[in-house]
Amino acid sequence: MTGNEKLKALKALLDSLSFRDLTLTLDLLVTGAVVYFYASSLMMAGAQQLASGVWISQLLIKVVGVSIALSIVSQLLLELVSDGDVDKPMDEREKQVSLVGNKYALWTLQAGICFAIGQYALEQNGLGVAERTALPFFTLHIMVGAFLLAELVNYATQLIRNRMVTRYG
Amino acid sequence: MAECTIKNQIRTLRFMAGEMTQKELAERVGVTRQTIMAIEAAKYSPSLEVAFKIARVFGEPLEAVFQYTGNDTGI
Repeated sequence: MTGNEKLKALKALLDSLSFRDLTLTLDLLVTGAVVYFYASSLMMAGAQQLASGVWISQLLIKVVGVSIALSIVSQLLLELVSDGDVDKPMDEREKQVSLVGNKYALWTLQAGICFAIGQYALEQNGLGVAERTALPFFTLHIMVGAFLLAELVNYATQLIRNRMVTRYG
Repeated sequence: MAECTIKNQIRTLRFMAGEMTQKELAERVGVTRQTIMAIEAAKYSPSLEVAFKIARVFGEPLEAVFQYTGNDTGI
């Protein structure tokens, strides 16, 4: 593919993007950044920090803070480029796609919660991962991870479904 | 995704309506351009309400815009 063809393909892609696609892409990026912040904080933490309930609580507060700050920035960006589209409600197809995204997000969250319950039960019997690793709050991390993963699945599913339905076959 | 069995004449009708754009049709029906694109490409079946609105924009009866091509007899 030549440079000119790539440019044409990019223009066609941007032309086919709806405001909803743009919103979902930004939401996906924000959630990805939050996941990166949470995971990198855990990986860089020492064993003493990981075992501290206070440190974990502070980390969770920071995660919420980062999430709110990034959401505000993304909303401001959308407001700037929207041309009034921000206030428009979703149409019937977008609502259906949103429901599909919510369904897969719920499944992800339920799987994560089941996994956390299993880990908790094992931990209470001295068989859990937390007993053998330096992650005493492993059950909590599973739940936070499931929540974040569910958000990623929700936005990614909606983006994919939107692209599937609007591309010419 | 299963191909829907409702075909339509929206592209032809847009052409006959003075090359009406998808954006213009979307605004008149009250949906997004992507939804019109999906309906036109038979990748999404609209609700009855949207189908009637599209037919009304072109001043045509519903069956002139949408045709059911499934081979089941119904009932």
